[in-house]
Amino acid sequence: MISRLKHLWQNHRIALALFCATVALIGYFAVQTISSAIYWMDPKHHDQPIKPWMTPRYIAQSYDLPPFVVGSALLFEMDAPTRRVSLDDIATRNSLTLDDLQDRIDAAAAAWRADPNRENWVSK
Amino acid sequence: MTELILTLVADYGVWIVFFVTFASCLAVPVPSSLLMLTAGGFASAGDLSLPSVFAAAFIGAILGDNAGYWIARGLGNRLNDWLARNKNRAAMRDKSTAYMAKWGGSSVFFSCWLVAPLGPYVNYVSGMTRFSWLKFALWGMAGEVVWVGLYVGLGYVFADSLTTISSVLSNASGLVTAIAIAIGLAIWLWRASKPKNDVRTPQN
Repeated sequence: MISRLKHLWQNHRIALALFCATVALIGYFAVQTISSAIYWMDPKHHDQPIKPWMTPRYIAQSYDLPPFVVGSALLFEMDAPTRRVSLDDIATRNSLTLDDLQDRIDAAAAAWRADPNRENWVSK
Repeated sequence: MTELILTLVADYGVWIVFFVTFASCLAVPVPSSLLMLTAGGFASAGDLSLPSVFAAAFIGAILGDNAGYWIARGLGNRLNDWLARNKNRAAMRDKSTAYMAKWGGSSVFFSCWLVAPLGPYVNYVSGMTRFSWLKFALWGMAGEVVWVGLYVGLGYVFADSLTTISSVLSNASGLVTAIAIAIGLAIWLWRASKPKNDVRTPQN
């Protein structure tokens, strides 16, 4: 074994270095995979922060809110003929920032989840 | 770049899925896996139809794989003389051809999904070594069904938490690819380190 390693070190140094680098990469990805899986399984991270590419329907799905609650929070008509509009577009149209939209969604979600009579909410 | 492409899904729908999976099979660095997850999530939310997301990703991937194969095959024909002129280059080509004859089908299949970052290069090597196109196309289709089904399906099921599931999957995919490369290098190094049977003239 030692003599083989010696032989490789003398004749195939680059390939040996590549192998060591790949083993290091395995360690890196293993740690990353485990830590991201732990993060994913933590229920605290259920409400994912909004991103410019998300759509109102997707937010409703992700935050587990009825579409009309998200629609009014995002100033978006859920029955509009264009089904998909990105939050980026909604922000631009209403001269708001993405953070403003996040605040509006958080407020709407909190109001919805806190109200014991929410089943009586009607879509406008 | 990633966010820009994802934002285009809202505007252009499944067309973006088609073009991005096509490009990713030609080694263009686009976030195809993340895009399929997102499109699956949009299908779950009711913003896209699941069958059309699946079809767009699948057709894009198949066309991309075959485009890569035929580009490399055309290039391989032109490089033939250049490869044959040098002993090392010719040996490398012969080795690749022998490898593909033995392991070609499973390499194409697994490089579509399990070690997806290597996929485009396996397509190029397949074309370059004139690996049977029929076998390439069939194994490739089988592999892409798994790739597309896996990512679109996971996006659909875990639509609530796309941003976290995507980081789990991209790290896991990097891990599997690094393991595959390490195994390949280890086999090569093991063979290369074999002590040569020295032919010595017996001493009188």
